[in-house]
Amino acid sequence: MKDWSTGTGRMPRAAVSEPPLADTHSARTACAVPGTPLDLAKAGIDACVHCGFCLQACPTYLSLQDENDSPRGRILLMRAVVEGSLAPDDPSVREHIDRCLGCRGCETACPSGVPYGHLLEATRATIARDQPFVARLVLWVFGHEWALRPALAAARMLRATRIPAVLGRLPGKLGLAMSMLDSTRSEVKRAPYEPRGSAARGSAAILRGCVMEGLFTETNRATERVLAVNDWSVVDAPGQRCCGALHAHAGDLESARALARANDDAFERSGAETIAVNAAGCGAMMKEYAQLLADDPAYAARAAALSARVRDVTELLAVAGPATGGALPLTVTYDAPCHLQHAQRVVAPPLAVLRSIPALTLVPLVESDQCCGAAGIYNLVKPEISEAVLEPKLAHIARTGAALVATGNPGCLMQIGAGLARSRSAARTVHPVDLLDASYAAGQSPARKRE
Amino acid sequence: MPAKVLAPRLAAIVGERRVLARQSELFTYTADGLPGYRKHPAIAVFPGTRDEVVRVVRTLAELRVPFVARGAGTGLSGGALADGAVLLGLQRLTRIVDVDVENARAVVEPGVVNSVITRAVAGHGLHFAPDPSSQAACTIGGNVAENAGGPHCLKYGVTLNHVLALTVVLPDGEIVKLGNPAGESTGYDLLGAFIGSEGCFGVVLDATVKLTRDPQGIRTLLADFMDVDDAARAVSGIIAAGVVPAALEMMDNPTIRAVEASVYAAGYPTDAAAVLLIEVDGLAAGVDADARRVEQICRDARARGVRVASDADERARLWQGRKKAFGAMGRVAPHLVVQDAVVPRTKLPETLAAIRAIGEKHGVMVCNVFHAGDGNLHPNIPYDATDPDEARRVEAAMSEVMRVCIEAGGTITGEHGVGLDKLGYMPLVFSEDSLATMCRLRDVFDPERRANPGKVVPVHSCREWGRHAAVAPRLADRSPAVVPVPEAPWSRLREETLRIREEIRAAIESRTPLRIVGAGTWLDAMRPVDAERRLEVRDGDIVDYVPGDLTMTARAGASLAALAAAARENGQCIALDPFGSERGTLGATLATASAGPLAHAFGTPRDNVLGVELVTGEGTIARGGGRVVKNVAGFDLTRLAIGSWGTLGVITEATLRLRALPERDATVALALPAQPRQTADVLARLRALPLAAWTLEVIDAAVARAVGVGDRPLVLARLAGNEPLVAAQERELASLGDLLTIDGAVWDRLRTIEPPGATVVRVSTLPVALPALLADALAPEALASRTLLHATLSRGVIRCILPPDALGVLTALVARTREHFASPRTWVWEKLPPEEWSALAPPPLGDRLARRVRDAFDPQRVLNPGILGEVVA
Ligand SMILES: Cc1cc2nc3c(=O)[nH]c(=O)nc-3n(C[C@H](O)[C@H](O)[C@H](O)COP(=O)(O)OP(=O)(O)OC[C@H]3O[C@@H](n4cnc5c(N)ncnc54)[C@H](O)[C@@H]3O)c2cc1C
Ligand code: SF4
Ligand code: SF4
Repeated sequence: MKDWSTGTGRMPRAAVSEPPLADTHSARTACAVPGTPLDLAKAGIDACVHCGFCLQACPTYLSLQDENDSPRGRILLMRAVVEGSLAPDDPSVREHIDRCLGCRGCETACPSGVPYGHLLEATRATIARDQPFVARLVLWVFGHEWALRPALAAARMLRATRIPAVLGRLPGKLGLAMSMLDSTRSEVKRAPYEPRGSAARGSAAILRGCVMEGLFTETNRATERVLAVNDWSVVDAPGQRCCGALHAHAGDLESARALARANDDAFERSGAETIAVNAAGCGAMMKEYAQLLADDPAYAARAAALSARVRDVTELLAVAGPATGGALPLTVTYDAPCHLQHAQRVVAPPLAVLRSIPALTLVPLVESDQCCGAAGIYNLVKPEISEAVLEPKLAHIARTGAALVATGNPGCLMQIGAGLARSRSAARTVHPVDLLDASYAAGQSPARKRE
Repeated sequence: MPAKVLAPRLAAIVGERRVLARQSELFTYTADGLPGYRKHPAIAVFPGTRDEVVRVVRTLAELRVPFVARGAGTGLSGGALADGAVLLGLQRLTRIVDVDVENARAVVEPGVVNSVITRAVAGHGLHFAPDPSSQAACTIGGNVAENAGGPHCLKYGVTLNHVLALTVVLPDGEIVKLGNPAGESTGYDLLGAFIGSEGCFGVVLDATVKLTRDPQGIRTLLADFMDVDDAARAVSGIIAAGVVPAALEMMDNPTIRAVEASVYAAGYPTDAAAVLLIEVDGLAAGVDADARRVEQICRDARARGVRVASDADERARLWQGRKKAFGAMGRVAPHLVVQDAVVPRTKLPETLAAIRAIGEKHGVMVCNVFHAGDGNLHPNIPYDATDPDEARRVEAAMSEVMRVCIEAGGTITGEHGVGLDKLGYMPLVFSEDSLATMCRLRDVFDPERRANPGKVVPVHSCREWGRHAAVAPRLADRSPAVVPVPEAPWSRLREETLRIREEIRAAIESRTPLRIVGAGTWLDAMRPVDAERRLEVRDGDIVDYVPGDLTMTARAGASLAALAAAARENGQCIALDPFGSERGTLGATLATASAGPLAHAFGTPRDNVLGVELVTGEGTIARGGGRVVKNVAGFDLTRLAIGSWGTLGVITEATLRLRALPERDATVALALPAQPRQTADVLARLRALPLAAWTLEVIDAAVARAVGVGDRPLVLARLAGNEPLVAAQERELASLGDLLTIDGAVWDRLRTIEPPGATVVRVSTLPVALPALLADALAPEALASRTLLHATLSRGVIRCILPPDALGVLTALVARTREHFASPRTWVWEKLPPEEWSALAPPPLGDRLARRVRDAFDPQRVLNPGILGEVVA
């Protein structure tokens, strides 16, 4: 125990003869966790200058107000593990790393270019973790196609009964899960139309995604249509799997790599020039396959080539104009999915897509770049924190007076959708592509945008 | 006190979750913005309300446990590190308690992030002016504690100039209010002393901050240079030309490249040797001319190109790059040392060259990104600390850089504070006696030295340590080695200072109190002094005046007239124009904190003085501050001395900030309507006008007659600046009534209107309440016939001068203002018939803290006893 009465500790020694740096700068010792993913990510930790610019960008710091739950704090914990000051299985380390949403809001605030998302995955892969049962179950299901398909089919059937709408009012995890499921019902009614385009922009294969194809089927079809309208030829990529993002974020890098390889094979086979993704989380993951498989001699180059061809669907649409459709007199606000805004740094295209829709009023959302708390399966694992993070978001949405919140990621669609329903708001969530599709449907044969 | 005992006591106040005692959870709190240091707190506690803070501090006081306040932990001097002490985190206190748009002020809790204030008031055309580069992260509590500056403090001033009042809990648990949010402050400037005290004087519970009106026009220029020397010459050129940019920042090539590689890439030319980011702002009419002038100076200094931001987005981008530059440097190498030193602005070119040479000599890369307009350097060195040889070379280079800055007449920290990091440098800029005097000040606030122990002032300097031996006997043994002090200009004491010290020592010895006398023109001010013997401050030399630095150091016996004349010869002026004879001395002006009409634009003496030399009532010669325009080294003896009426020490020397005389300098008079109601209306409209006047003084008919400008109430305005700026203001003023141009000599006459034997009192209030009060007082049937009355609008201060036979009127005045004036008001009596003092004016030394200051600096009451109304010892 320190001597309380003095409290001064070691003084830096006198200046000119012996400058104060000498005895205080921590000369770094060898890595305490050699060979682990964290060891390999060490350079990323070193890039952190501890300036604190990321604090106010971090949703968990803002709601929990403890620096252990901030990017800077978590990086220091990682450093402590690397240096050996804290053990990899230290419960505090695990707790605070677990609480991270992985939203990467800190990355776009960081002047020093700390690759936080990468550090987080490396840390999760390094430290001993007992995953909660829900998390293990979800990851397992998503990793196994034969289990995933029936699970999603069951969910669709359940949704059709409208029971989730009722149960969604219940407090707790069950209510939340039901409400999330209910929120996936397609909000936008549209008449069928024939998408006509020139296919001049080349071929695009769509990542169907597990949740997207399972629960947002209509959005996937809409994605195919709007791409076709905007002159892409949409091709199929059979054999594609879950993108692996959930696994990677949870630190299960091996499963993630296996899925990445499978997708690499599938998309290569499809021959598509471009991979279009309408789920921000999946898009971010696929753009990072290059890094994920960098050490795999068989796949490194192929993964890099694949990653380079991945685009968010709104990026493709924005490049194309997009073509103008019919009027959609709706008041809409936009919330940026973290994995689009921070991970992919795609900021303007979704807004351009929404602005292109005639008669649509786009109301800006305060702090639209802040996480909604969905963060993959975080909301099921840590519902209290997730709810605390969502709370200000719902308040900001209420203030816009918008009827629809557009956002391009299934997790966010469900999290915000459930939050709105459970707080008895009349507003609902919608994918931007669905709105564009509805606009095209309303215009029947959309007018070509002239250059 | 083991953590086991403490933790439950604290948890009972703040809740279990908010007390961290496990080493693994405390790890995060072992570092602040300067991660080279790691110090382990014993425990960390995070109160959520002001009340909880007070209860925590009281518990710590009861248990005599040392503690360290922490805001966002972005400090760059290790100030928020708690070595075995309790870490008191304030980041949860994030409430904006009140925003008062009318009076342009806000009350905020200490954990409110700097930029959040500006965001909260943005809709009202206001902002919080101090803008440290860390503003997106750092807290107000930390800003107050460090007296934070920022790029825009070149024009707008540092935190000190923007805090009106503080509520503070002292380390012993007492809650005190410092400053006066609703009028002039009276008594010692303890607010000024607290700001910049680096967490050693107590914990800020809330701050009343000034909000600044957004400028009407802004021009942001990016000038790029192929040679750093050229850029440095451009900086000196701009300052010397008298243009006051809102900000003037320099970044060199390595810095530019780091920024351009980051998410904050701003479009700086990556092949430039250096860029200057220059902003001029103010009234729309004036900015273009200023921008053109700046551009020309840059081009004359061989700028390769000068680009003007075309819109708000580009401007924001240019600034983001600058503000995130330090952070961006993390990508250059795994470790980074950040320095903070100030040199006189004319020394910038040679200092930068010297720094470059030092870098080359030691084979390290020095990156410069700094507040060039203030001469506030931040030489940063990215390096790899795991390479012991490189680490050694970096350290050697850094000490040499510091030495060069000090030898150039600079100081060791302009804004980051001393904290832990600069402790060893303190003896290089302050004598043992100065450091000991700073310790005295600390002891006034925290006699047990439990708040942020071991920071700011090296402990061996506290000669009086024996007095506190019971509390912390071992601190003294841990003294760092004494540093050899180079021969600095100020280390040679003048004969006159030594003489004054001898006289004070003799007075202490013989218990004969002294009446401090300057030119003797104002001895009838304040309460009668109970001393026969006079201590005359005679020496009036100008010690150091480099016009290009816009600073002047003079001995306290100098008359303001002499200083003004010297400055005028160089196209400059001092912004001190107190009422009274021009023969009045610098020392007296500062001791009495006397201000005149120029305070409208430039503030009072506390805002214009950079440093003082002072002989305390204990016979100790101490220096506070320095000679450069930005300085946060050590506790603020300067603010303490200013306005202390000689009761803490005799001011023997001071360094002033000067202003450049403008291109055009016009004095105009705006006639006020006869009807009080209309007058109030005009004055209220006047407050809202976009003006950048140097003075805005309302005078009543009697004063108008006395200064020979007619016989009706007027607003006198001194409009200064470039041609279009003055013309635009004339147009604005003319929209309110008849405007005539008059001779600027009126200002000198205004200073000497008071007849001998007059009673003088100042009433001050919230700015918004002033027009009504003033209109009322100006009404013909009111006091105007017997009273001379004038007011400085922006300060909310009315000064009333009553002829000797008008005491009855005085009583009426007091009654009248009380009756008509519901909002808070403050009376400051300058001159009263001796017998009236006790009835009308409560002594400003009423509170415990003020008495403790007096006890610490003049325990024997040998200096001006009685002048502040205290009981003579
Ligand atoms: C990238 C970067 C850029 C910077 N740029 C600037 C700049 O341009 N100008 C500048 O001046 N500084 C700058 N700084 C330094 C730093 O941000 C400031 O000193 C800031 O004021 C510190 O605020 P904080 O809340 O982080 O305080 P902390 O670091 O938490 O604490 C600093 C000191 O304040 C004390 N303190 C904190 N809160 C309180 C309270 N409520 N009551 C009493 N004492 C308290 C602490 O004990 C400590 O001594 C920069 C720092 C970084 C990292
Ligand atoms: S912003 Fe980047 S460099 Fe700064 S503390 Fe956060 S992670 Fe570290
Ligand atoms: S990823 Fe999101 S939650 Fe995690 S540290 Fe970064 S900002 Fe905070």
